[in-house]
Amino acid sequence: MSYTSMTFLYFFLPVFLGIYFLAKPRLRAALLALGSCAVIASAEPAGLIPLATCLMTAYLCGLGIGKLRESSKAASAFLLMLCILAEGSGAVLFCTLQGSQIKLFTAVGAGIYTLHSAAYCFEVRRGTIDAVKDPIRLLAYIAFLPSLNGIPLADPKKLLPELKAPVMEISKVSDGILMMLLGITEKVVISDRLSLLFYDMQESSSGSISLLMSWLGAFIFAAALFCRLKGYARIAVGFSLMLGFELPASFDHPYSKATLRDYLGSFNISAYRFVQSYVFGPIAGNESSQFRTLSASAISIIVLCISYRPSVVFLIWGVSAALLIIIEMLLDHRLAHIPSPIRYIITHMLTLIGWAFVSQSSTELSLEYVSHMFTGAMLLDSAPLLYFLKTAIPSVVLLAVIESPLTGSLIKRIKEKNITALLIIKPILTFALLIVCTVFLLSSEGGAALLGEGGMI
Amino acid sequence: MKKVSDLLSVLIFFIMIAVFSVSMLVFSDKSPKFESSNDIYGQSERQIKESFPLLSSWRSMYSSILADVGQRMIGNIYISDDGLIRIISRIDEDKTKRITDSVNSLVERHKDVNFYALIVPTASGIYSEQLPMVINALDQQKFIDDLYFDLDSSVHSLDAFTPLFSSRDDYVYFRTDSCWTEYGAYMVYSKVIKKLGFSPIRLSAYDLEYAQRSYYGDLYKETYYQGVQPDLINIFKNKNGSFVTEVKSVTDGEEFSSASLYYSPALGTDKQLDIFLGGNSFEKCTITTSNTEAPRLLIIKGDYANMFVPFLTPHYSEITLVDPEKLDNQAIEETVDIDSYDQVLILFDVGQLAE
Repeated sequence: MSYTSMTFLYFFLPVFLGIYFLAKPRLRAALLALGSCAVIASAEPAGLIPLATCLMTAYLCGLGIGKLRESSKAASAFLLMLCILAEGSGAVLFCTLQGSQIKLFTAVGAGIYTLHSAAYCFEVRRGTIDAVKDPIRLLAYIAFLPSLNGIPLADPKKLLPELKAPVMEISKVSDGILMMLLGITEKVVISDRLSLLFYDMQESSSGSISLLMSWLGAFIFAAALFCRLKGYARIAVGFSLMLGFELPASFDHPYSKATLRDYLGSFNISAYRFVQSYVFGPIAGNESSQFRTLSASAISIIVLCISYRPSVVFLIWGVSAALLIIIEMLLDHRLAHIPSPIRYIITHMLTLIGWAFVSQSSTELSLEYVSHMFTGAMLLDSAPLLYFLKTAIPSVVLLAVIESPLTGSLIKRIKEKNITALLIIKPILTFALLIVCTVFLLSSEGGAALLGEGGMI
Repeated sequence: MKKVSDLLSVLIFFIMIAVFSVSMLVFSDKSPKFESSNDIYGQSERQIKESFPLLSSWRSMYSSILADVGQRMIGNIYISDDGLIRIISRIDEDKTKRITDSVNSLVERHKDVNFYALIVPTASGIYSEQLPMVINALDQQKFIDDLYFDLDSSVHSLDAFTPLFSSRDDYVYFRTDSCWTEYGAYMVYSKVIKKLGFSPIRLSAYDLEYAQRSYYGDLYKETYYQGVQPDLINIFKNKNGSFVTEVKSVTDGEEFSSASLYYSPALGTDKQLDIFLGGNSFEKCTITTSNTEAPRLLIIKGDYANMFVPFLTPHYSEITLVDPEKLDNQAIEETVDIDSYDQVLILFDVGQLAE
């Protein structure tokens, strides 16, 4: 079941929230686990197999690590490695066996529950949390219902204690509804339209794409993907607010950042923090050796990139991104002399090239597309370019309005001033967004897959 | 005050959700149908989308929003200045090959009968020049030529593209439906009938009757786009009176008969084009005329045939239409004796072969 569907919005959500509201707080984790299983099974019943495997591995390893972490550090580290290896290889094996049929599991490559269970075992090993003895609560975390779209990853340190007895609050439910409707709007109104436009562009160009068109295509793809991820993240944050949890924001205006490192750190923040905490940290350790730090950074970036989709295209993308960021780190002092606007342009041209690279289904097509961005004829025909530009403008303008830092600061100011008259805006906005979501969910033909067939993204 | 605002937001959300979900479950006239398949979620999503309250208003709002921001494509329907056009980008090659092979084997088995093929382009093919060049519409003229080439050499190919293209500024296709108009059918008839061995009846020999002045067809019902003019359903009535003496049709094994080609009760339903031969639900339809000495014609038909038949009645003693899609794997030869006909016309539109 997609979270951007009529079935979810008009049936699953109200029924689930109703039961959740009536249930005693200590039973809510069990309800969440049941809800997750229902959502996964509705998308692909076979998706429950890797979930069960992940749960079993994480549960047993968690208990083992918890017991051994004080007495035998080596044994607990071995168990942790075993757990990660088992889950990682299980995920890869399952993806291979199921191909593109499994929808939820491939949403962010390795799958949300693989990453959640790895994070849980890491934290138990570090001693920041105790091993969970209640498998239902662990299941509710591993397959955390609002995060099943693949974004954002939830922090076990924060979520596992809260799952003992989640508390619903009217203000959070109200904020959550608004946030979720905004997320659905971003996905169905902006991202779907832009993804279809990019698909049409690919179809109509048939290999002879001009230089300007290829840059426009890369921009449309990047905007569609950003909006889709941001939309899913908002839905997850909104849904979890309704259930009584607070998930962190996943994006911090990456398009306003002037360096690649800042861009990376503000794009899909939870995934960035995950690799920082569980990949970079263990590899870099406490030593201040530059080589080790750079190697850890490179490996983290590569892991982050292939977590979107384990494929050769994403591996090449990850390696290139790692190289560029290492160069940026090494030349930091020299690059600081470049005027900010020029640095900004260079950074975003590089990110667009990266997104253009992953927009294609094979390495050959990716290389061909990127080569068009530099060697294609300047303009083969102005008519298609103008058509795509004109068609993309409404979605891009809407995206700019929603995502502009100015809009964010304006909303913040309104909230701070607590102007009474403005409080009626919230119910009106809720009503308007529900209408918009219903209009588009009912009538739209849906969007095109952006990160390969089969995945929800 | 903030609490009131929050409470109001939550109430608005859940009341609206409840009103629509409950009214869909309780008041919907479409009972849910679930097929035995694993994709229960996909089926439920389709059911909701089909039976949601005020569906036409929601869809109309969607089309208006898109049109207002300059978008001209709604799904695979293009909003042109003159009406709605379903864009055909790809052809179902398996289906096309199946049809070509079955026609060729039919021709092989009935060598003494004259076979004719009339593949009619849709509006997407005729008005392709008006579409933005980035819309990947199929070159229907080339497709029809290729299809004729694949047919047995003894099949006479009839050109519907040229007369429709020449008359493209006239009312040859409905603005809100994917079908051709009676006028479009006449334009093709007037050119192809010579190849069938007859002289065309002049347009002035017909009286034009407006059966319906505000018809909204299938394209409108998919988009509910309000910016398009409704269509006219015209009936061309021969000034010398009708040649038809009896129309017998077989639907789901049950036989119906009437004295006219036109089934006027259809005008009171939402399928008003069914006025022509009662629609496309029959497996077989036999039209007998007063020209008892004239030849007999068998039409292996697609959706466009019903509009074409009224012009053929003055030339034949009997016209039988069979719809291969309705025969459920039953061979055409089991339904009709092909050798007893003088001519066989295979009439399809390109839309029926689309992917």
